[in-house]
Amino acid sequence: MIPAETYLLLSAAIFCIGLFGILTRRNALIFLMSVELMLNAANINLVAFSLQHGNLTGQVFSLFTMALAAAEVAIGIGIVLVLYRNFTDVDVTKATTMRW
Amino acid sequence: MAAFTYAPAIVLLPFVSFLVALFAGDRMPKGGALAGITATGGSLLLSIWVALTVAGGEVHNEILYQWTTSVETLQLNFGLLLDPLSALMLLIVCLISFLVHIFSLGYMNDEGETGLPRYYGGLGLFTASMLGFVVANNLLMAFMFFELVGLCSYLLIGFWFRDDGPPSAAKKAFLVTRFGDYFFLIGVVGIFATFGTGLFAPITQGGEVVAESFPMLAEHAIVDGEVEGIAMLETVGMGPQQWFTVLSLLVLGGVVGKSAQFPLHTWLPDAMEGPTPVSALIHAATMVAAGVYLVARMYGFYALSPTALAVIALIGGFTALFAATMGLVKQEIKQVLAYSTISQYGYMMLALGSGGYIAAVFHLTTHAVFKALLFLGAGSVIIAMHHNENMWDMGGLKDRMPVTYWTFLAGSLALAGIVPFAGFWSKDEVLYEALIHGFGTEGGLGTVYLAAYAMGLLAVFFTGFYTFRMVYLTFHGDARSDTARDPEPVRWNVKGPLTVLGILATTIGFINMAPVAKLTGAHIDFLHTWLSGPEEGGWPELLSTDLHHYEELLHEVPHVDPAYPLGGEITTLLASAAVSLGLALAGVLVARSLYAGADPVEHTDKLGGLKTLLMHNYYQDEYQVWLATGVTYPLARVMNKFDQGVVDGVVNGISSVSLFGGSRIRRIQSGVVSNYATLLTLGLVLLLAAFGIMGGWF
Amino acid sequence: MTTKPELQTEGSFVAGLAAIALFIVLGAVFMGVSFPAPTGFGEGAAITKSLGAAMFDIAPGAIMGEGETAVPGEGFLVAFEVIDIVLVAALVGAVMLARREVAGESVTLGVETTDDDDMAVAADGGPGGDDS
Repeated sequence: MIPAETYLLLSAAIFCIGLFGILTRRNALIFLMSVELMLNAANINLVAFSLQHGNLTGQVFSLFTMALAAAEVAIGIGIVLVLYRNFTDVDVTKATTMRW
Repeated sequence: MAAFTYAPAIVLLPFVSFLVALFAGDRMPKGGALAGITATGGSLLLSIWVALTVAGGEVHNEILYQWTTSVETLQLNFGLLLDPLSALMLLIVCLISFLVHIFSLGYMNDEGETGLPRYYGGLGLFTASMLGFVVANNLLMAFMFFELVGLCSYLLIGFWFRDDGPPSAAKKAFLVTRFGDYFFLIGVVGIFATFGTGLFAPITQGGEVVAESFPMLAEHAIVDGEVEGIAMLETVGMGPQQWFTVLSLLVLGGVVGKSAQFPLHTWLPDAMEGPTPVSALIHAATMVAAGVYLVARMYGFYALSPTALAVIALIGGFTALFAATMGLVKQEIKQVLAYSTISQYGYMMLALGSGGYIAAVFHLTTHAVFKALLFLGAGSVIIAMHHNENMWDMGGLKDRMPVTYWTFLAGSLALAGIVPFAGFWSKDEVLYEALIHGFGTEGGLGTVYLAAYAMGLLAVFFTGFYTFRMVYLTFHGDARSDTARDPEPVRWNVKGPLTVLGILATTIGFINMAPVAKLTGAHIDFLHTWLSGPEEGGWPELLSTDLHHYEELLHEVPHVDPAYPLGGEITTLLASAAVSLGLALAGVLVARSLYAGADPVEHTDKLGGLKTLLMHNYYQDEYQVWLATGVTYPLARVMNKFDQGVVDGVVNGISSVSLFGGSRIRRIQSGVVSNYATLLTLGLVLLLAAFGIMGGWF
Repeated sequence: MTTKPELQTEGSFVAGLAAIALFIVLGAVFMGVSFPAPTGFGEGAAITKSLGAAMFDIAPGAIMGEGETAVPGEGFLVAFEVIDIVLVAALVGAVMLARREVAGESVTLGVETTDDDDMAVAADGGPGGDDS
């Protein structure tokens, strides 16, 4: 059995990769993909603890999280579409009118 | 007693007439005069009733309305104190006010003046305020009415406000007296802070003292040494005598301003810009008497402080001489009378300072009568001369205006102090008291009294001189202008008050002919008995505002005692009377020799440079203006700079910190989502690290 | 040689340091933690069947076959239904966001317009796109 700490480390690594993508990428679609990565990192965590405790709740929870992630991406892409319509560019650093 | 229950009406009736004149005066036939006459007449009758009750030995000291109810250490209230002194003053004020109201019918209504409701309203408010001041039983109430009286003076002096002179004179009067009243206010606060009460006389109910008065508390502190209750002495770090002297001198500031003593006398000659009845009422008989009355009212407090007494006597003596010299060269009849008023109040202050309480009150009474008479007489002359006040345009009016002439002559003889007119008895008593206390008191105080006596004595000569210069120039000789040849006739409403006052000026001296009483042993010094009360018990025991109490205090604390240098009491008395009478007659005769002919000349031109100095009033007005513009104004500018620079600067600085901080911090909102995410992450990292270190996760 | 518009996809990498810092903190914490041995699911545990039972709130033992043991869990029927609704809402929302209005007429994906003056840019390319 793989100890839970390894899974935690894996999940942390994937989360930080996703975070890296959010902080550095300028394309809105890549941004959304990084958000997906972060969500999946959380899923790994849930499943790992399901194994740790021998309880199914973690796995069911992760299934629901996946469903919600899908819903969120649907909306997210719709928003990117509207963003493109207003700013003629999917670059997130170009959409800066809500500022001081 | 019933009289005392109705006593508040004495103050309220003229106040009601003020309201009537103000709101309904336009619709009344004489512009509110009848309301004023009825009100003052009613007050006069009530005052007579009160005086009769007081003569029967009853006094009244009652709090009518208490404003502060929750604070136990300090009580502020309105109350009435009706004892012989206040009853006497009530009579004087009501009588003069009544006669002035009647005179105003002739001076204002018959001359076709406009704005009469304002005038009669002002007179009514003034009478109400003065009466309120007279009956006040505590210092704060007295102060409030003192200020009200000053306000009414301002309103009435500036009655003809569309000309240039009157508003300026009104402002000057108000500001100069206000300057003195500032010190008075500090003194009132000081007295309240020291004693916790401002009552002039203790209030007793059923034999028990319910509320102590501050003169009594001060007396206990100095004579009996009971200083524990007075916490203020530790705060200021002075002994009781010293601190009470400071308080007395502070209150004296207001007195000096209101009674037009040096150096705050400059407003009174300018106040002659107002209508003559106003001058008669306010600036001769009543408002300027307020200062002297206040000192007499608080005499139990002043008697404890030899320094204050010395200052009062010196100021009085000096002012008497100083003003008399300025009156010598004036050309307008009202100006001569104004300086005469300043000079005569100097005599009253001299009397008070040198321990002659009776003399001061006596002179106050007689002066009120004859000065009001002289002013009303001058008013009659002014009506006749079509408002030309210059004496050099008058002359020969005695045949054309007999009633005015004879009453004016009676007033002048009283003013100059010729026997048996009123002024002789009172002025002589003032000088006599100063003389005997000067010889009897040890040390510096006695010397001060003698110096003040000398100044007062010299002023007698000048008084006689300028008074009869005025009489001769106005009434005798040949008429020097057309208006004098054909003066405007005056009616009964002018002649009536003049006659009443003329009779009074002749006879009122008889209320206290002290020399005759001492010579013959007859008890005709009625004023003395009036102010002393019964020997045992009675009102002196209740109120301690009687002459015996004051004489005891004067003996005990400042050691003011009489001494009779020229043999015994009788010889000193006769000698002093002879000297002052002689000087007065000398003055009269000199005036006669210079001005009595058919065509008098301006002899004062021979004085040369001295005349210029006197005409310019020793440049006191210029000096006071310089104090305002040269000293006060630059100081105010510096203060203004401080206020705008430092105080406003600090406040603006604080706001600029906020503005600057805000303008920098808002740049975090760059609009770029990645930046926000970066900041979020950083915050999360820091939080986790902090929790981890604190919780020992590592 | 066709050139297409190049999207600039590189951002400044300095911000990524924050992510790396987070990883370091998390890693430091996780390395120091020690868990007890994980309880697995046991031999012959029918995980999938149990998952289905948990979703629909039916007793896991009722649907086991031969030699299969159920895995304990909780009932998630309400959550299942709610997520169902959320998915529908997301779908509808996405379609609404993607709509485009041209001359009062709403245009959705797959509908052709014949308006040549239309300057509104469509994400789906639109008729006669201005690709060079």
